[in-house]
Amino acid sequence: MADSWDAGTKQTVQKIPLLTVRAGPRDKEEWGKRLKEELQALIKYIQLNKASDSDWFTITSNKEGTHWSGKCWYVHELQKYTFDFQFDVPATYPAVAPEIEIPELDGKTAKMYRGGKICLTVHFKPLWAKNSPHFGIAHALCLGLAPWMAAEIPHLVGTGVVQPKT
Amino acid sequence: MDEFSLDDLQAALQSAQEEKSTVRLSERNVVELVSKLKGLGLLGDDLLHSINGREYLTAAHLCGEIKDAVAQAGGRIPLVDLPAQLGVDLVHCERQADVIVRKSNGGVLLEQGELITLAYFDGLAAEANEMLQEAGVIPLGDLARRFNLGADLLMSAIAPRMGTVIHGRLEGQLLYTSAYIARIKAKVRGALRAASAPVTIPNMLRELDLENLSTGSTTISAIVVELLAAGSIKGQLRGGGTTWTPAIYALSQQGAVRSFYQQNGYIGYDTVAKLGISSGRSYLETAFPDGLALDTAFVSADLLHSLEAASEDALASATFCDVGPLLPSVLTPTDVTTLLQKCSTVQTAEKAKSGPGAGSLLAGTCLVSAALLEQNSQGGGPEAASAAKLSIDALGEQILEWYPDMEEAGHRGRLAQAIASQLRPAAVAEYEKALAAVFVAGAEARRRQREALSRSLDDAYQRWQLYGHGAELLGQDEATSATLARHLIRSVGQEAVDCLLRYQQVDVQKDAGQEPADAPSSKEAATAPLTAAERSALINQLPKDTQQSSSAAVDKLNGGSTTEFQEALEHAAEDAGLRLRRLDKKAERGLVHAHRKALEAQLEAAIEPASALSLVVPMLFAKVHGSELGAPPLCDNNMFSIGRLLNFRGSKPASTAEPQKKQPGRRPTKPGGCVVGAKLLTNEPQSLVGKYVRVWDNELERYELAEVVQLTEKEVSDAEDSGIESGSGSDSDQEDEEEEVQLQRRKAGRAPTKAGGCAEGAKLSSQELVGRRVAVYWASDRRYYTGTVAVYNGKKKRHVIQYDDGDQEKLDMSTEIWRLEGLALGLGIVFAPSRRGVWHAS
Repeated sequence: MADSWDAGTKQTVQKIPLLTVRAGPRDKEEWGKRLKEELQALIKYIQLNKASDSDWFTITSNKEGTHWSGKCWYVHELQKYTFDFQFDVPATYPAVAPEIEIPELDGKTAKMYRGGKICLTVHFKPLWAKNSPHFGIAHALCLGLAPWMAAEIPHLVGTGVVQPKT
Repeated sequence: MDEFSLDDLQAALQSAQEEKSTVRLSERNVVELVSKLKGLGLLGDDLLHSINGREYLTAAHLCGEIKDAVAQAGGRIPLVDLPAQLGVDLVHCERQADVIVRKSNGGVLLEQGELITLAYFDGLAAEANEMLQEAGVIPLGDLARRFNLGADLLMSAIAPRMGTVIHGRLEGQLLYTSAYIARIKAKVRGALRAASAPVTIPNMLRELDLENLSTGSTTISAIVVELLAAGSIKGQLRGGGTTWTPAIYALSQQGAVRSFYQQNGYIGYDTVAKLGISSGRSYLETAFPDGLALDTAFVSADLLHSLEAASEDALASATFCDVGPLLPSVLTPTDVTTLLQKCSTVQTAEKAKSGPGAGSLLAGTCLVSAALLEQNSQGGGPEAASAAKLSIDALGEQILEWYPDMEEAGHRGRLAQAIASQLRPAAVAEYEKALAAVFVAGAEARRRQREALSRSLDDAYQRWQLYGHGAELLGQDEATSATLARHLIRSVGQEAVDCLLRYQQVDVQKDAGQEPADAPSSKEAATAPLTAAERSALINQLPKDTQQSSSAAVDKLNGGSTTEFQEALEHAAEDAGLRLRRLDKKAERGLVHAHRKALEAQLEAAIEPASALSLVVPMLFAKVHGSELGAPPLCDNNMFSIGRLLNFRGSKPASTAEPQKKQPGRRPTKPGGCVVGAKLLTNEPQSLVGKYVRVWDNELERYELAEVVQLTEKEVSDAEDSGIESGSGSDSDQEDEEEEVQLQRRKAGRAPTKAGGCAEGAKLSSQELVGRRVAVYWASDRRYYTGTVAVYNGKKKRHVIQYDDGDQEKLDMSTEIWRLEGLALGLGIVFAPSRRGVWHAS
């Protein structure tokens, strides 16, 4: 993975609205507020992506907003590779970032923890810590999953580990 | 945020995801796509692309675009503009333009690379019409230039529209309106009507600004002819239609000639030529058949009649007449002679030898009656002879004196001379007769005059001797006697010499046989002193034998010696045949007495003290010494010395006393006034230098403080130096200033650093530091501030530092930490210290 985020990512992240409520899933009332902010940030992010023709994921959550799942895809050499991803919002959220899993790639790459959790760049954690609680799920996707995929998918395709779904 | 429920938001998220994202095809892909479609034959061959390669377009579309472009440009557009406007290659544009022209059936033209529609020509014609109505005339060339069209094309466009769109006439290459022609006609008519002298048509056109007309002069002459025929102008067009002579001009010409001729009785040919008639003589002969044609002028018969009348008159009254003034001045002498030949009276007078009708023609133009000539030769001779003027010129002048009206008479005023030449023989004879009689007269008068002059010479000589004796009495006093001698020679001596010279002059005049011209006035002239120039003139007239001695006497006039002058005078008198009498005692006493009486009488009349004094002194002198003194008037000093000689007591003359003038300025008092200083002065004079001393000033009457600068005792007052005098008023000011700076220092919390000084700066003396750049360390801020040393107060050992930030401070540089900065910027920029400088906390 790259040492730092590229300029495009940075610009994008700046466009995603920052969150204000500091609350985890355990906090009843506050979580509701937080969840609303999360959703609004996600909507904004998706709209931005659609506008720039760079839509790359879909996402949905359970009713409580504790478990999130969706599809993400990456186009490499005119082939679209789609993966399912999922994550649970940790109890210490938003102090700790959610751990995004891609189960179908489990064991296929070194940049992954057991259980399909992706290994994030060294810059991610300090950045998240610094920006907590202003960063949310949208930021985690933008700064975590997106760069991981951009770095890993071409490599995986190149080694033949991943085949395009016909 | 609260208005949305979670469900709403989740639904919104879902819908946001379901929305179609904007799809973008890359240019590369599109190009590939199109080429593939072409390859498949799905697109026709007429697919074109724009110059920048971003657009595809069909030929039909381009066709429509070109049509639009033409319409938008007003029906006319250059083909080369199309590519830039449409973004399509020129080749395609040209091809489509051809198609358009072919399809339009003449509605659109392709001319010289331009697409032009018929509508455009309509508009052009309308515009041209507007211009035409405004200007009256337009050359087609101008139009073509203006619309940037070929002349042929323009012609083809305009010709069919004449009368419909364009209202005017098209002739050759010119487009004009009938109003324009009318206007030209009016202008020409006006100009020709206004002309009172012949005008050339081209000049007139130039003045009317019509010369650049494309219609040319043929049209103009046609217009003139037309106007003539219509009777609106009167005159003649000559010289092949280039010169216009107005009828009024010819009329006034004839009128002028006629009136001049009738008024003056003649007219010169040059006058006629000036009036514009070239062949004057023939013209006049036909116009005035009764006149006489001479070489230079045409003369009427009336003139001849008046001439005859004048001559008859002159002959009858035995005078003369000059026909010159009667005749016009333009006539030459030959003309006059021919004219007189035609005059019958003159002819007969010339023929007659004598009698009342006889006369002669003298000096060309003058008829002098024989009677007049006779009278003159009888009566005028003796008079002319007495004045000894026998030359023809002199005689002529004499005749002019008798007949002043003759001066201008005759050809170039020669009548008088002509008469004189006739009179001369008679005059010469008369003169010789008269000469003898004249010679005897005048001898008696001369004798009387000579006697009077010798008497006055004697008188002057006596006075000379008298005053000479008086002057000898003053022999002890060098200066006075010299002055008196000089005065004596100037006054009495001069008189004597003048008398002598006049006496001799009378003799000389007798020798020359001339009557002394100033005989009646010689009485007064004898007393008036002669000028040096007159004297030398007189001497020159004297005969050789006496000339030398007389000039010697005159020379002695300028000398100072009485004896020399007396000798010279006596010698000159001897040469002139006179004997000067010596003065005896008795005669001298009588003279002195008479002189005293005269002086007393003058003294009574004298008012001015000085003149009174000059009268009193010789009077007293005469009384004391029995001798007379000829003293110059207003000669104070001499008077006084004479007074001394006379031993006047108690009257100290004021003017001789030398005023003890007070010398202005300071003068040190004589006996040096300092006890302590005296010691120094005597023992160690050098030690006084540099010391301050108080010096008494006589003028100011007080002591002045001064510094001894040099041993030469030159003083320099330095009283204003503030650093020296204690207790001066300016000191308190300085203390105020210092207090203020102290206050500022406390505000900043600045503690002055002790034990300071500067290694390099220490080498410089305190005074040398002034004007230098320094940096002063401020411990509170832990930094240096730069500034300039403005002033050094030697008494308090303080430097005034002018900081660069505008602050100012008085410092004891020995207790500060500071260093020298770069070179001084010069004293000129040291600002006047401001008492309330702005404080900069930094």
